[in-house]
Amino acid sequence: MIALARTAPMSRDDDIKRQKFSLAAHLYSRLRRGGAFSIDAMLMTRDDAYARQVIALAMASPDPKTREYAEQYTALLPAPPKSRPAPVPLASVSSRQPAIPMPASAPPPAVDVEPQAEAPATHRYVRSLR
Amino acid sequence: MKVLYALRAPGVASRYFGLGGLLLASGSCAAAGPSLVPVSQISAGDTAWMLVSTALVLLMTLPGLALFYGSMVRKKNVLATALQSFAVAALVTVLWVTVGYSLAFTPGSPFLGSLDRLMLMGLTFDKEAAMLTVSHLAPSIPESVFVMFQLTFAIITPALITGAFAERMKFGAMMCFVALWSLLVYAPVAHGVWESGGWLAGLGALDFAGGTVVHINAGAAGLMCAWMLGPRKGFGQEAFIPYNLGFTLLGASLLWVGWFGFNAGSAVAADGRAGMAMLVTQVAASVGALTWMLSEYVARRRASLLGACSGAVAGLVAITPASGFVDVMGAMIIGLVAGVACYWGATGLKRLLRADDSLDVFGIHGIGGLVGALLTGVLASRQIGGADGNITAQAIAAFATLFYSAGMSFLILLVLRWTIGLRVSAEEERDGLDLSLHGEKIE
Repeated sequence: MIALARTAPMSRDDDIKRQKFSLAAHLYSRLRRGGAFSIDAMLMTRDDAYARQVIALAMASPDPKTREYAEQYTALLPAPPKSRPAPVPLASVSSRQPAIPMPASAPPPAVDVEPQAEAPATHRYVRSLR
Repeated sequence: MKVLYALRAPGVASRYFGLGGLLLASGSCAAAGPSLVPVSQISAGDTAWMLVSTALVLLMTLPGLALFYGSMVRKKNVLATALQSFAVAALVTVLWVTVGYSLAFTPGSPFLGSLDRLMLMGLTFDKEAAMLTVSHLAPSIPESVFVMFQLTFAIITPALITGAFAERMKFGAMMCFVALWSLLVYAPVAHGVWESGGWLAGLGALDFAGGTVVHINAGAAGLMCAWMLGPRKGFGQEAFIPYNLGFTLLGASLLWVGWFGFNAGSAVAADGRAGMAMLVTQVAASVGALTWMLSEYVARRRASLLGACSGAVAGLVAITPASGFVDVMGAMIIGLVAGVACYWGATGLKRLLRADDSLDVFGIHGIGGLVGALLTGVLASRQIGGADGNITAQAIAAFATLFYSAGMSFLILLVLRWTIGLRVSAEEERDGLDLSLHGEKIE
């Protein structure tokens, strides 16, 4: 039975998962080295919202190879849902502070994360429009 | 001497005093009314300017106010709110030509005009005989143009009120309220202030373009509507996020530009006084916008787009009664005071009044109108308008209008509440008026 399971053809989902993990691992090493960011490669394969945040981070990288991996990963993701999920805070993307400070000449990692549109509304427009 | 000459020459009177200034001529003109004159009496320049002004003032409501109000409510009520301005324009037009104009702008008692112009009977344009009728208040333009110009004021005044009860009033109740209010409140107030035999005109109160007739009148009615209808569901507990403040900027810009017709058109002539009115209008709007933004910055450490728009409108409202009577320095003072006072009206006073005046009709139009009316009494220059201000007369006219409008609005709303009801159901309010009342929706 074990032998049969090992030799059984891989399903399409498993294939995508494998490709995702492979790309996530590449992104992990590239971002760790170039941008001093530490990402969770396993979480990336399980959580598409988290993956999109990492991709946004990778797309802002000056390294073309990192951006290429990010594009390949994007192709594996399903179309984003109509209602945008709450953005993952940047803090959870960079789970560990870089051991070595970034050189002053290096551009800061620009992350294209939209601000939370609803955040100010919690303080505004209650009881008063103006 | 100029004043006496103006009083004795009906054709010249409006050139000295403007529409609002005609109140000074009350004694001599009380018996005058629209009359048939040769076409040669008409000034082509005045008529051209008044046609343009009329279009500008209508532009303030359609689409200016519709955009301004529609963009500040929640997405589910945008269409219903914009529709209210549109429907009011149509309804008031019919009422105006039927009976409203006659009640407001024909001689009668000090409180109401006659029915001489019922269905605009007697309004004449005879091309072959080269004769036409003119109003005694605007003798250099055809009466038809005067009717249209005044109609646009009669339209925008109740349209302004709709901002106070936005997002919760039944459409039918709104239409009934506007119809009754136009005839029972707007027409008598316009007659009292602007008709030469009106009782407030007789006191010497100055209202060049409608600070009292339009803004105090609408502000008071709006506040009463807000009280009578009660707050919107969730008011004070949840955020009522405006649909699109970009459209608010568009609406406010249309209001600003249209206001040149409102104020400079109220000179009823294409002359130097109209030019001064346009100039002080621009100055007051600008100072109002800057002052509101500064007030916001002091209070909250930020200046907002909505604040800039609101400040400009506050300055425009306040300069309205004064626009034919003050110079540029006067306009700056009025804009400055209006910016601060209306900011307080839409924030601090609103909290004190504990009324859900949805779009701050009283805070801006009521308070701005009061500021303008009272400061006209202080800042009016004889050199500009041919008359000095009288703060007592201004205060009487302003507060009499405020209390009359609020009281009559209360009675009208009471009758409507007992008969057809005022508010939509809780489910309709929750679903939004666009879908529940009109079967339409913005995606």
